[in-house]
Amino acid sequence: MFEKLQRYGTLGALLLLLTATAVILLLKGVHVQTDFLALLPQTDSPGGAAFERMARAGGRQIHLLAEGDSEQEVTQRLSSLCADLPAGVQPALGKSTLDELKEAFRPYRFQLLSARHRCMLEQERFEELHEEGMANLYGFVSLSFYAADEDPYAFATTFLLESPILKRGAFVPQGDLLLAQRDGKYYGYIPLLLPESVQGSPAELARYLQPLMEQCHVLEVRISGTPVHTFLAASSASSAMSWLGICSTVMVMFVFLWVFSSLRGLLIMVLTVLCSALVSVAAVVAIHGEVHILALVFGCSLVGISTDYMVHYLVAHSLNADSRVGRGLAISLLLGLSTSCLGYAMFYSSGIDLLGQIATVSVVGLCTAILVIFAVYPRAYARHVPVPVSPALLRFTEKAQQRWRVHGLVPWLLALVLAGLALCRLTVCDDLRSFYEPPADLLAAERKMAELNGMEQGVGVLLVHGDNEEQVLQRQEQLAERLAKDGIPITCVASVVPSAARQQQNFAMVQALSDRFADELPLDLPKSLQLLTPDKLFAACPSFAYLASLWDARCGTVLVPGKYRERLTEYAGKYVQPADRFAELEAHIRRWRVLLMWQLGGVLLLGMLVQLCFYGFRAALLISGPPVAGVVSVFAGLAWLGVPLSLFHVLACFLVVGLGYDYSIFCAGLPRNARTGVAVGLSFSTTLCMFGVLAFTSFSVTHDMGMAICLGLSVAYGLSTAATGAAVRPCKVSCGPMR
Amino acid sequence: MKFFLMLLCAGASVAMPTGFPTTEVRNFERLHADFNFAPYTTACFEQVRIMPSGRVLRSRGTFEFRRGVGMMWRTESPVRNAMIISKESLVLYGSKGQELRRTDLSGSPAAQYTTVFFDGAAPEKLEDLTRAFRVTYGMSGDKTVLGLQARRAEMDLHMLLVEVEKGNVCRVEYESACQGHVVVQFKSVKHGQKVPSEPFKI
Repeated sequence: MFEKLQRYGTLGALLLLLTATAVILLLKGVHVQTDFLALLPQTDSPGGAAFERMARAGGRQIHLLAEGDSEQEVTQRLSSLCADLPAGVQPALGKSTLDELKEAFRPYRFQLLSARHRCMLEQERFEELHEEGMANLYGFVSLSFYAADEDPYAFATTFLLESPILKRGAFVPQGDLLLAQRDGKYYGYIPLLLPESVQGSPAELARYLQPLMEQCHVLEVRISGTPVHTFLAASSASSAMSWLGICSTVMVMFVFLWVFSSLRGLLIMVLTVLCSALVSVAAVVAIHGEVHILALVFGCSLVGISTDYMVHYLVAHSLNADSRVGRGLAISLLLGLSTSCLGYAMFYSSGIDLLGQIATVSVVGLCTAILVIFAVYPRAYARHVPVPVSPALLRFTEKAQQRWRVHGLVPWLLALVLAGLALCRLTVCDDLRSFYEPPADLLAAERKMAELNGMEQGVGVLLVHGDNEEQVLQRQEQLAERLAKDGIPITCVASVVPSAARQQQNFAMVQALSDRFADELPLDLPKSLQLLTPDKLFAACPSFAYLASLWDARCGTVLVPGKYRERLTEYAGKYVQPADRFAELEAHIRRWRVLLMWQLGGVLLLGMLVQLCFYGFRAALLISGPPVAGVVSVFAGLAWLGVPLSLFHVLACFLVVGLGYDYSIFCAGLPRNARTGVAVGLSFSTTLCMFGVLAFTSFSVTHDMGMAICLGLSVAYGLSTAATGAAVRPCKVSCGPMR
Repeated sequence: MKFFLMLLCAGASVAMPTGFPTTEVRNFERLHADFNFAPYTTACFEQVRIMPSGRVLRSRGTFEFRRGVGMMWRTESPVRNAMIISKESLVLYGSKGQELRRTDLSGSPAAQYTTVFFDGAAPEKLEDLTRAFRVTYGMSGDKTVLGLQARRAEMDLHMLLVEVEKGNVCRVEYESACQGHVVVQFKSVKHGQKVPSEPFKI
């Protein structure tokens, strides 16, 4: 029955699976999601939406900052840079922007008042205003963006100059750039806007940023902004991954060829991995609709573990002339598969789509690999068994096995001691910012920009809620007045677009003033009042994308300099709430990490239960010891090194559990001899080649995972001999002798 | 005020007035020698401004220049007010000498344009002007004329003409999109070598 099932059933299932894969891929295609913002926890809260809008607007804006000894020097450098911008990249605040701004505000210039002018009109200080207007007209120069007799009181001009559009810390708009002078140095700043297409497309982003960054390097212009972070992180990760990917593949191939001296084996291994990866991608497309690049990379790497199954098959057939998979090997393979699948299947319960995708890729990929082994290998190796294994390696392993034997309880004792250390000293870090360390020059550029912008400590955020646009604007105005009394400057839409009520009030006051001095200072007031609305402004000035990102008709965002962040709670109320995206994300990530840690415990326990069912209590204890010790050693190692535990360490622990169980199961289920040692050792070496090298990357996410995998797997492998032979004795389920 | 600084850096192609010099300046040392006004200068002025709307405004008053400090523009008729421009600020005063408005200029790199003549029209500062303007000069008898013509059409200050006679500034004319066409005639120009230490008297 078993043989018939293996001979025909598996082949039929595999063919069916491959046909289904081809149909899914042909019909649906593969849409690889590369938008990393999509990975961040989505919340339905207005705060979450506000932050997402800001992040999307910031995701297109880059900042160019030139420093020099003279204004001429910085202007020249920036001008030559801007003269040769890649097509599609535009200055966000150029000379046309000021004209755009003036034109957009022109029809509304009698209803836009600065705080000072509003106060004077409210207090009916008409004479003072009259004098100011006359001084503007008769002085050597007048103060107006508009023709002096169009805006003789300079109402709209003052309003604009005090608005956050033009008031940017030490920067002063001059021509097509912003200039600042500090400590004898001149600074020129140009904000640039990348095209929409860069959002979520690393290739597009690289197309625009690569040449721009090269030009900046030549002209000694500092470049910063979210897209630069995204680009540098992606290119650093991809360059590290491609180098390490090549290195690890070469190492795996070398080890494989050295041990088995077979090109056929290598080819079949590659085909197995490819087949598993294809089926798993099709499964993700069918279940999740699309596949995220991270899930693809991480999941396909996990599928790479399927090479271990092949190694076990080849080693098991090094003396065996029958190419079929024996019952003993089959049970060990299925047990190993079930513990790995259990571990990854746990990801589904997290409710996190990315983890769900990783689970699908891993579970489907590993199952497919097993199916390929059962269906194809006996046929492929029908005339090529026994498979030769390097005699030198067999001798070496035999000697090592004689010298290295771990007592069954050692893993548990070690785990207890290490758990004590971990509990005493382990710290955790769930702050998103700590997962990525930007290059020093980028950090320096951002610090200088923030210093000149008056935002040294980032920005604090207040959300203002309302039932409609007018209510939000009015509440923002009230908040602005409170903050202004405390000397806190703000950036919000209401500081550029007053509420309808305020515009009407302003217009009425200006009308009264105009009537009074109609002869000397006549104003060309419109007959009826047209209201300026946020939508009208954003439509007229597309370059204010960042300001638009602060706006929602039911929830407006108010930004204050980060140094006032601690004081924001003082302004919290029914309609005003402080928001901190990083704290929110940290809480989310903490929840994920804790959930994953519970799931990790669950996987260890389930693995133990599976062993208990098949082999009994003693064997279950001996088999579970090494993976448990492997996981605990990761926590203890981090505690000892003073590295805080992160979400990615926990994710890596799932691999340690899956493979740790595999090592123990094979040591326990197969006879204690050199071939078993070679199979487990080879499995460990190939995994170390594939994942351990990640520890050498500078990208903290992959580095963390590589470190954890190196440490945990080494401990689990080193202790796996504790389980040797534990399940060779007759077990509860009749499994027959190993062929 | 920031906009004002922008305006000064800003001009457009416009019909040049008669007498606008055509020779481009190459020797800024020479220009420096002609426009390095005395450390302390006072004068009376008469200003005619034709607003963009066509309205004509005539005014007169006094002008005071102090090298290294700044200048005061005091209008006496038809209204009384004053404007003091220094490297640090621009302040407007009302008829009773009360401060109407103060605009901080410190830290503004553009201030170097407004203050080119405050420090004695240094050659390198005059040369700086060439980035935004075509700088020309002409001579006729005792008169030396400096002309600035905006290089870009979108600039607010289209042209500026400064006439100096025997070391005394005698006429200034400029054309601006926002401020219209302005002609200022200086009379009773007096010089002093010592800059008064007391503040400007409003």
